[in-house]
Amino acid sequence: MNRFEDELRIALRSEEPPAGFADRILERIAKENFQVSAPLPPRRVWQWRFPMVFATAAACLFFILATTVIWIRQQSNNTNQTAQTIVESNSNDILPTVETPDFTTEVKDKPKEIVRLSSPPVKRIMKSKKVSSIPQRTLRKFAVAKPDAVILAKNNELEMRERNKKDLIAVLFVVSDELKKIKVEF
Amino acid sequence: MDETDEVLAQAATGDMDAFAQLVRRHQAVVWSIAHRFLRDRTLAEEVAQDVFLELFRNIAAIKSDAHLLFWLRKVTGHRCIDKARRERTHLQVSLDEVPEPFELRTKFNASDPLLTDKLREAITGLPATPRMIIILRYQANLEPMEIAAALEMSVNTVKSHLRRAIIVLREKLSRSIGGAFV
Repeated sequence: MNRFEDELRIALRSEEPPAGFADRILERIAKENFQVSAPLPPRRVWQWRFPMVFATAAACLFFILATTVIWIRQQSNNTNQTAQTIVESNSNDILPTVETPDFTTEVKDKPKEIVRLSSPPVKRIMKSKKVSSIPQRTLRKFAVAKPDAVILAKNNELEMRERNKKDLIAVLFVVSDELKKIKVEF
Repeated sequence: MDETDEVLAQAATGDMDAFAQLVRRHQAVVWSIAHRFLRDRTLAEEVAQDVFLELFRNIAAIKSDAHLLFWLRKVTGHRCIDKARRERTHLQVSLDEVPEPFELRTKFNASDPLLTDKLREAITGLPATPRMIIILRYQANLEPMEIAAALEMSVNTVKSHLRRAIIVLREKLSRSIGGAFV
């Protein structure tokens, strides 16, 4: 303790209030008719925790739902874009050798083989290439490499005229070099 | 149950005599904080009366004498800070704060009365929160942790206010008396 602190204690020393202070308080209580209020019962833990937990759970649920809806919409948009791109690339001048198949008749002759991009064989390839999804440009290359195989990419599915799924997977291997370069997927 | 607890229990039932006992026992604590903080007898009396009226309303919630003392310091601290912010009393010094004669002062302590006055002036010039922290620390002898609990702030904030307030007070005092004050 130093001298300065001693001086502070002296300067701030306690003192008695002016005479009649307590009486004036009691007079005021009587005059203004103050009442002693009953003590509030102590709040139980769940009484203050429940609203907090409920609000947190509701916020989490809302966040998950909103994220899911946004993700589904994005996926749908991307797939539609991909389908559009593939159809366009099959029909535009970049691919002069590719003729748009008349699948209204072809499909009748050869049963369509549908390979989902989420199917295990495709996923295995993707896993080996360390990618989580196939971007548009890869699908476009896929269409270029095997134009006869692709009729339409829609709703995350590739429809083939060939019956053999292995053919589709082989084509994916053809474009797998492209997969190596991919870092950001849609 | 000791005597104080009995008085508290009686006051909680609306017994005015018991409440009067509590007021007389603790009036110096409340008055001293309010008066040293506001440096105005009228305002200090107003705040101190309001504190005891609030105590009367909430007396049933007080559990013990220690709790009562803590409650009084806490409510007085908050009310004084609010009052100072509303009235900006740190800019004024009322007429009844004119320094007392030297002879009266020397009865209480051996300190230089001029120094004490300068120190009180410097304390009055502090912002409301550090001023209350200084008063609770050096008048009520509360530890930073107790001050933090009473003023509902973190211990680190209290320590930082305390450190800065002491530096400011030292500087002010050194300027006013001329020369460094250790």
